[in-house]
Amino acid sequence: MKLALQKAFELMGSNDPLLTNIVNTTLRMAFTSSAIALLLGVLIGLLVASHEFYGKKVIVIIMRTLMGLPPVFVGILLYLLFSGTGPFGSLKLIYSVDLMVIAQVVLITPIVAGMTETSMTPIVNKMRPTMKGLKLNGFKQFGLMVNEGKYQLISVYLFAFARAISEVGAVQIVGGNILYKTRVMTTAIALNYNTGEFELAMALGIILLFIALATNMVAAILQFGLWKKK
Amino acid sequence: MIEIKAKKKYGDRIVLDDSFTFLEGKIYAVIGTNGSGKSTLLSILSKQLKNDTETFVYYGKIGYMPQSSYAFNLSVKNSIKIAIPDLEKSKTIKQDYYKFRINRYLRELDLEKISRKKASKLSGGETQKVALARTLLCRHDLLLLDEPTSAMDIQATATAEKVLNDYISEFNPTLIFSTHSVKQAERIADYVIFLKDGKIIETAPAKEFLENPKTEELKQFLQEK
Amino acid sequence: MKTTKKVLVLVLVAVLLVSCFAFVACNKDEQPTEEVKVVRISTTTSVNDSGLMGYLQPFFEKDTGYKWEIASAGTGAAINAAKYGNADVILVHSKKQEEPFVEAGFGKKVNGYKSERISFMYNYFVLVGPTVDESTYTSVKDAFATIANNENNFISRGDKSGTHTKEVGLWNSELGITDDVTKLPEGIKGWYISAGQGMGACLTMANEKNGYCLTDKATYLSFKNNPEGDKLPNLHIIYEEDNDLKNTYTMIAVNPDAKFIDSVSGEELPAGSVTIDTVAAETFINWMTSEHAKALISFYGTTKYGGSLFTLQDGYLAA
Repeated sequence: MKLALQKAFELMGSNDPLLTNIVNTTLRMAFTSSAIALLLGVLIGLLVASHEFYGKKVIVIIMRTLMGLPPVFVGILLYLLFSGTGPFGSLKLIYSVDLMVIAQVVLITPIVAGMTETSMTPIVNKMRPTMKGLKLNGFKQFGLMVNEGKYQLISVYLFAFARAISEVGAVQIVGGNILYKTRVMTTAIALNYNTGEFELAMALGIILLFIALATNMVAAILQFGLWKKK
Repeated sequence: MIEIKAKKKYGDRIVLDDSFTFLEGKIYAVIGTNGSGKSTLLSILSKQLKNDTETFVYYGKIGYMPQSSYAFNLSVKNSIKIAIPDLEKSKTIKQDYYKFRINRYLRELDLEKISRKKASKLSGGETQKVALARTLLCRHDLLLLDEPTSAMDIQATATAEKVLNDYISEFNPTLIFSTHSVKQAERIADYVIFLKDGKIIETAPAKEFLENPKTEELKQFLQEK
Repeated sequence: MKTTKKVLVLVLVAVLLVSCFAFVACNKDEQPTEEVKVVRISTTTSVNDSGLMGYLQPFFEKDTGYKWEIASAGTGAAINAAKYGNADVILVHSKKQEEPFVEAGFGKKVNGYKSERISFMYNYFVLVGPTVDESTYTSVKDAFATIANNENNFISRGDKSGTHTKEVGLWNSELGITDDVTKLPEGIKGWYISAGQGMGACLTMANEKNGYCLTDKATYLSFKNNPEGDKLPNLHIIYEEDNDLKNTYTMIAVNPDAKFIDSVSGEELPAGSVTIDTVAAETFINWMTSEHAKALISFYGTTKYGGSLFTLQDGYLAA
């Protein structure tokens, strides 16, 4: 453990080009997929939270079930769809970071939608009579709901980002862990385990935690700022 | 003339069940104990709630102030601004018109000093003033207010009533409001409707209402006030 | 309506509780009342993926009365498992990593065998590639040189496995390909793909990219002649049966007195903190080199893949 911690600091200070590449690829992928998932998920989540419709309970159950989609399953599914012989094979997305982003969006959007629906429903229920009474249009209502739920939505985003950065099952399959191309921190850790370089694997894991910590610190500052104003 | 056979049933409980007639341009106060169906009536008239019998059809502009308004996490001024109708937003003349009205209400309702304060941090009375300003921002043909001054103190109520009277003079809407204050009903309304358990017990011009209650229930109700 | 809801909730809770108890009870039943003899084997994913171990298991358990527990991972991790004291015997195929393992004192010589390293069977790696390749090569190194020259896609294991180590040694040293998986020489970046994944995944990638790959024949055949259909339609065997391509499988019994390592701190564990079942290890090794096992191993694959996947070899017995 001590060695791993030491190694982690060594690596971080070393400016190693491979490490830089892996970290860059990871961040590029994680920020993109969590941002897209946030947009789509919040949209879906708020739509469901703010409307009563026939079959709503069924939709909510489906949404919550999709939250538990196993990453490897999504990986295999997308692999079959996007490989050369698959229906989308001509897009040549297999073994690319783009496909890794797509896989993560598939995995994370339901989670964002589900969490949004859960955390925003009480808020939306309180807002609804007033908003309806004012006959506000959809865009305005969406904007107001997001404004009211800023604190909750930041938490939802952090969760989405955490899932993106720590995911390994899907990105391994659709990305292929190709050196300098689709290798991200999690797949690198898995590889280092298989080559027996446990210390290096642990060191990478610690670096990943530091990244997560930094992101959460920034978000917490934002959130506490909002919390104080309340 | 607005006619409606209002009915609302929740399971076995009948909350509202009677026929109402309202003359356009007149002011009606609805009074009764809690649970008598006042809010339900206003909800149905504002089309927020579905009438169990035929759907309520009204082609004019409806303004509705619910019993408790949500306090948005916006400044008081912005809280009122959201009520500006969209179609008119792009035309600068109309924009100025609404800006003018907003500033006027901020002034008349003593909200100027807190116009930048977050609406969610206001007292009950202040929140209600904001909600009232929001509702009165636009011209409505049918104005429905559910206990519009319930959280206000005597002074605030007087101010609010003055603003409301100005609005009535200006736009001459059909105003239907509910209240717990019989005095307020007397001050503002042309007619008063007394509801109990969802049924009209008595309805009469405002002056007669208090001086000559006809039914036993109303007499009892007025005594308790 | 309210009472029905209550009843439903109670029924649901009851069902959940009953299933919890049933789960716990069933698992308890699996706890044997008498001591069961177990041998812990650490092996590589290639060995496991070939299906050989699954095939041999019931015969072993019947003949010896021992149960075996196999943990498979990449070669490095498999060897590490032994260093942490998690295995009684290892079965790997990477001389380059076996020798340091023995030198560091982790191997134990078993009676009747020449050395700690018992290399009892082999097969060949094969070079597979796109169907359109119709070139003839004089040797596998020649094939590799041509691939480098033409800058064809080549998928490397990139994981320091036995396969990877073998592959690295077949390139012209000028290319600068080493088994250091963190370095990718500039000149080959366009076509040499270091995948860092298992054999199956690499073959799939090679098929996808119409590229070449060095693979053990067993994994290749299990994908090619798969009962569900040909999983590698774009690949076929380009070169095989070259001495350079020999892949030797070795068993090593773990030394109970070795200086085992704490997996968390990385430091040496105090003597006696790890128990290795040497009897189990020896039972396993003796069975794997027995006539029965030899017959089974030779037979394995003949029906499914049209040829045996492993060839037995001699030379490991003590004189």
